[in-house]
Amino acid sequence: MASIAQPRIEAPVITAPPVEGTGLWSWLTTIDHKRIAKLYGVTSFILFLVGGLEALLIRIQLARPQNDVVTAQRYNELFTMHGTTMIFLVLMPLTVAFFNLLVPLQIGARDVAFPRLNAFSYWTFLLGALMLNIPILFALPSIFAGMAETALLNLFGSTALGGLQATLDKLPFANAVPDQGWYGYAPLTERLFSGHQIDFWAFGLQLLGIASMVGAFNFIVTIINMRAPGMTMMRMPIFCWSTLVTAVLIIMAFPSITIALFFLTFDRYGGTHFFNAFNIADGTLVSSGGDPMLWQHLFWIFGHPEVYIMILPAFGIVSEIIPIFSRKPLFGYAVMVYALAAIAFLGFGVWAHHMFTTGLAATPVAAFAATSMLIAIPTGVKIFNWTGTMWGGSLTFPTAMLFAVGLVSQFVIGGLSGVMHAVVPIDTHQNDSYFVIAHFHYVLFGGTLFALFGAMYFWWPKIYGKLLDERLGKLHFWLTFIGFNLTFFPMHFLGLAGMPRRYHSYSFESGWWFWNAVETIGALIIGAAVLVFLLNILRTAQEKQDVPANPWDAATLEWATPSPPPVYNFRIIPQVTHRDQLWHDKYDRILEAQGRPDAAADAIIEIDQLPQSSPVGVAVAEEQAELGNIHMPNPSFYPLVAAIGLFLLPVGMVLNNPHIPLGSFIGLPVITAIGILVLLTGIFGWSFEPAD
Amino acid sequence: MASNVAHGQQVIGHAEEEHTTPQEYVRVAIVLAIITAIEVFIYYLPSARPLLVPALIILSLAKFAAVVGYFMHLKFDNRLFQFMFIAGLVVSLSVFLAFLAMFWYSTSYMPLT
Amino acid sequence: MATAITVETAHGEGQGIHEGHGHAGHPPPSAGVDSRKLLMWLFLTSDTMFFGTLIATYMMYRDRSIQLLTPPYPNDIFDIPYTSVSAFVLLMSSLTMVLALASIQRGNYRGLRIWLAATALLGGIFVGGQVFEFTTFAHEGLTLSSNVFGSSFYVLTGFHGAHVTIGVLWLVALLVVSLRGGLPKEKAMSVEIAGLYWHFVDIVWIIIFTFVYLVPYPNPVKEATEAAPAAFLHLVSLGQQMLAALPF
Ligand code: HEM
Ligand SMILES: [Cu+2]
Repeated sequence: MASIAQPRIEAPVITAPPVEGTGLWSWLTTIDHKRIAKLYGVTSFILFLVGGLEALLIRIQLARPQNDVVTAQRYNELFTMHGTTMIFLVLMPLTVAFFNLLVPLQIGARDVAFPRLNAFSYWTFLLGALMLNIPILFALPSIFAGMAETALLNLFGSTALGGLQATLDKLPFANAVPDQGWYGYAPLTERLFSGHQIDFWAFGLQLLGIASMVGAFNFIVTIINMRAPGMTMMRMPIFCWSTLVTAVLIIMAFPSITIALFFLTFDRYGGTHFFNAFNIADGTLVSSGGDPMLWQHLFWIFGHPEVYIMILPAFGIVSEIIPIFSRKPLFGYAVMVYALAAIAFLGFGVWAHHMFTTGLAATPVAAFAATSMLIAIPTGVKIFNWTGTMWGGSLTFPTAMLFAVGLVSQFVIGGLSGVMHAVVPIDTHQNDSYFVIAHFHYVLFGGTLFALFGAMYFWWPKIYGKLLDERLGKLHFWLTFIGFNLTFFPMHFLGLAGMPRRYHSYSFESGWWFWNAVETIGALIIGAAVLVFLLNILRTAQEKQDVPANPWDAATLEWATPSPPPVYNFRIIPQVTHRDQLWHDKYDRILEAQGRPDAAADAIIEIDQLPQSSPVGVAVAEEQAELGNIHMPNPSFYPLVAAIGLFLLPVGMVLNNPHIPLGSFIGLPVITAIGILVLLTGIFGWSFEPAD
Repeated sequence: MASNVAHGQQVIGHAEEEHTTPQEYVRVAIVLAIITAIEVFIYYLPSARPLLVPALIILSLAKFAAVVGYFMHLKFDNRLFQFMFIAGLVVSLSVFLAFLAMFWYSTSYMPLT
Repeated sequence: MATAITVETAHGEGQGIHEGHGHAGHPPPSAGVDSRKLLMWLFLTSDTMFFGTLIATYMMYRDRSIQLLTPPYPNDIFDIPYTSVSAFVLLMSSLTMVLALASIQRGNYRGLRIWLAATALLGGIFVGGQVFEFTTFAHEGLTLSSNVFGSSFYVLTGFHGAHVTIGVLWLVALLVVSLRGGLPKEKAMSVEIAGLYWHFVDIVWIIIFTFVYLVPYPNPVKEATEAAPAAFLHLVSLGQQMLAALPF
C-alpha cells in the first residue's frame, strides 16, 4: 500500500477486470467459490424438499393408530432415506455452501487455495447424492400410486387405479431402496440379510465422504494460508473459526466410516467376516469370529464427531448474526474459539454413548457418560456468550435474528435432553425410543436448520444481490417455530411413554394416538412454512432491487464487497487491523479522523466510491489499472470428468447384480472399466492443464 | 521455492535453513537398519520372550520417530506441521486405544498372550 | 482420493492465485508455508485415522481366530525372515528418497534421477514381494474369507500395498518429468511432497511389521480349545445376569 503515497503511473490504463462467463458450460467448468456455493446451496435445497417429502410421508403414516398408508417395508425405506438425506445431503452440504461463499470473502482472499479441487468436491457430492437417491426416486411413484389407490377406494369405493401401484412397483430399482436405517447397523447390511439396496447406500456414502474430505482439506489450507495481511487467527471472523474446526473434524472423523464402508464392501463382495459372526459352510452356520459391534464402534467414532460437523457451522453462523443485530461485538470471542476447539477435541471421546445399551462393561460406560457430560460445558459456554452478546445491546429482530435466537432457545432444549441421555440409567430407558428422536431433532432442526435459514436471510444479498422479503420471512419463522415444536416436543412424552422409534404402526391401546396426531399436524405446518419460504424466494427473484454493499451494517470483510461480489471478490486485497474491521473503519475511524480528512482513505469501504480526482484518486486509479492484472485461475472441465469417472466405478458394481437384466454383462466389466478410463483422463488432463 | 523467493514472498521452508547432509541421512538409515536387525534378532531369542513385546514397541516407536523427525524433516520444520501431525497422532492413538480396551476387556475375547 | 491429491500436489494447483504473479495485492501465504505441503501434511494427519482404523481392527481380531480354532493361524502362515527383508527394503527406500530430495535441492539432477529410480525400484520390489507373499499365503490356505485373521490381514496390508503402488507411480511420474527437463531446482517442493507421502507409507509399515508380524501369537492350545465355547457361554451368562438384575 506504499503506492498510495507516491503514485507511479501517469496515465492509468484501465483494462477490463476479469468477468465470469455465462451459460451451462461456464457452470460445468466453474471453479469460482461463489458459484460453487450456489451449486451446493441449490442442490441441497432441492434435496431438502425431497427429504421433507419423505418426512411428511412418515408422519402421515403415523397420524393414527394402525394406519397403513405405506407398507412396513416402504416405511423402513422412508425413514432410512429421510435420515441419510437430511444429514449427508442437506445439513452438511448446506453448511458447505456457506463455507464456500463466506470463507474466502471473510478472510479477504480471491478464492480458495485449490479452486479445481473445490469443483471436484461439488461434483463428487452431486453424484454421490444421485447414487443414494436413484432407488427412492423410482419408488416414490409407486408409493404415491398406492396412496391414491387407497384414497379412491376409501372415499369413492372406486378401483379406477387398481393395479397401478403393482405396475409401478416393477420399475427398475423400485425395490432396491436402502431400508436399514441411517446408521446401517451390521449384520442387517450383510449379504445374508439384505439385497443390493445396501450398495446404493454404501457407495453413495463413500462418494459423499470423499467429497467432504477433499473439501475439508481445501478449507483448512485456505483458512491457514490465504488470510489477508493483518488477519491474524484471532482477528478472524468466528464463522471461519467454526469452519476450520469443522473441517478438522471432517478429516479426522470420515476415515473411520470410509474404512468401515470399505470393510462392508469386502464383506459383501470379498467374503470377509468383518461384521458377520457367522459363515455358511456346507449349508450350516458356523462361527466366523466376526463382530457386528465393530461396525457400531467404527460408525460412532465417525458418528459423534459428525453431529458436531453439523452443529459447529451453525454456531458460527449465529455468532455472526447475533452481534450485528445487537449492535455489539461478540461477547467473549476468545472463549468462543477455545470452546469450539474443546468441543472438537472432546467430540472424539464420547462415541460409545450411542452404545450404552449394547452390553459394554461398566468402566467404559462410566467413562463415556463422564465425557458426554463434560462436553456440555463448552456447549453451555457458547449459549452463555450469545446471551452475553445480546445483553444490553440495542436489539432488532429481522428474520435472520429471529432464526438465530430461535437456535439459541431450541438448542438449549436439545442440549439438555442430550445430557439426560448421558445419564446411563436414564438412557437405558430412552434408548431407541422417540425421546432420542426428540433430542436430535432439537439439535439438528432447532439448531442447525434454524441457523441455516437465518444465514439464508442474512447473506441472501451477498449471494443474489437482493434482500428476502421480511414480512414473508417472519411468517416463515413463526410457522417453522410453531410447527417444529408441535412436531417434536410431544416426542419427549411419547418416548418416555415407551413408543419405540422406527416402528411402522402402533395400536390404539398404546395410548399414543393423541400426540401422534398433534405431531402430524405440526409437520404439516412445517410443510406450509417451507412453502412460504419458497414463495419468498420466487417473489424476491422477480423483484428489482439495488442492495448496497453492506445492508445490515455488518462488521466482516464480505460486506466490504459489492452485493453480489465480482468474480475476483476484492479489487485490492484488504489490510486488516481489527477483528470487526468494518465497524472499526466506520465508527472508530470517524472518531480518530477528526481533523485528518485523508485518514478515511485507507478505509476499505470507501475506496470503491472514491472519485478519481480526489487526492488518493490517483492511487485508486493505479489500483484500477491493477484490475486488468487481477488474475483468476481458468475454468476447468477436468474436475467434473474426474468426478464422473469416480462415480462410474461403483455404478458398475451396483449394476453387477443378478436382478438387473444384463447387469453382470455391462456392470463390472464395461461400466467400471469405462469409469477407470474416465477417471484417468480426468486426472491426466487436470495434471497437464496449466493451473491458470 | 525459488519462484516464491523471486517474487519477494517469504515462504519459510528449509530453503533458508541448513540442510541435513546426505551423510547424516545415511547415518540415520544405518541406525534404522540396526534397530530392525535387533527387532528380528530378539524375536528369535527365547530368553528375550518376557520382555519381547515392550521391547518391540519401544524399538518400533524409535524407528517411527526417526523417520518422521529426520526423513520427513518434521523435527526442523514449521511448528504448524509439528502441531498438526502430533495432535492427529494423539487423537487417533487415544481413540483406538480406548476402542481396543473396550474389546479386549469388556468381552471375554481377551488376548491369550 | 489419494490419486486426486497426488496429482494436485505434484503439479501445483493452488499456486495460481497467490503465488507466482507478483502483483501488488497478492499477499504472501499467511502462515508462511507452502500450500501444497500443508495439504500433504493434512492428508497424512487424516491418514493416521485411516490406518488407525485398519490397524485397530486387525489388533482387535488378532487372536480371535486362534481362540475360535478357525485355522489357518498366524504362526503357521507368517514367514518372518522373508518379511524382514521386505521391511528392510522399504526402510532403505526412505533413505534413497531423502537422497533424491537432497540432490534436487543442490541442483544435482543426475543424483535426483538416480535416487528417484532407486526409490521406485525398491518400492516396486516391496510390492512385488507382497504379491508373492499373498499368493504363497493363499496357497497355504489363508484367504480373505477363511477367518477374521485372513480378512483383517489382507485388507490392512493390501490397503498399505495400494498406498505403496500409488507412491511408485508418483515417483515414476516425477522421474519422467525430470528426464524431460521439467523438474528444475525451483520445483524441489514437488519432490519433497512426494517424499513426505513416501516416508509416511514407510512408517505405517514399521508399525505393521512390528504389530502384525513380530509381536508373537499364541498357539492354539488345549485351554484355547475350551476357551472358545467358554467365551460364548460367558457372554450368555453375562446376559442372563443382566436380565436378572433388571427390576421388572
Ligand atoms: C450437549 C451435548 C450432547 C450430549 C451429551 C448428547 C448425547 C447423546 C446421546 C447419549 C445420544 C444417544 C441416545 C440413545 O441412542 O440412547 C445421542 C443421540 C444423538 N445425538 Fe446427541 N448429544 C449432545 C448434543 C448433540 C448435538 C449437538 C447433536 C447434533 C447436532 C446431536 C445429535 C444426535 C443424534 C443425531 C443422535 C441420534 C443418533 C441415532 O441414534 O440415530 N447431539 N446424543
Ligand atoms: Cu453422540
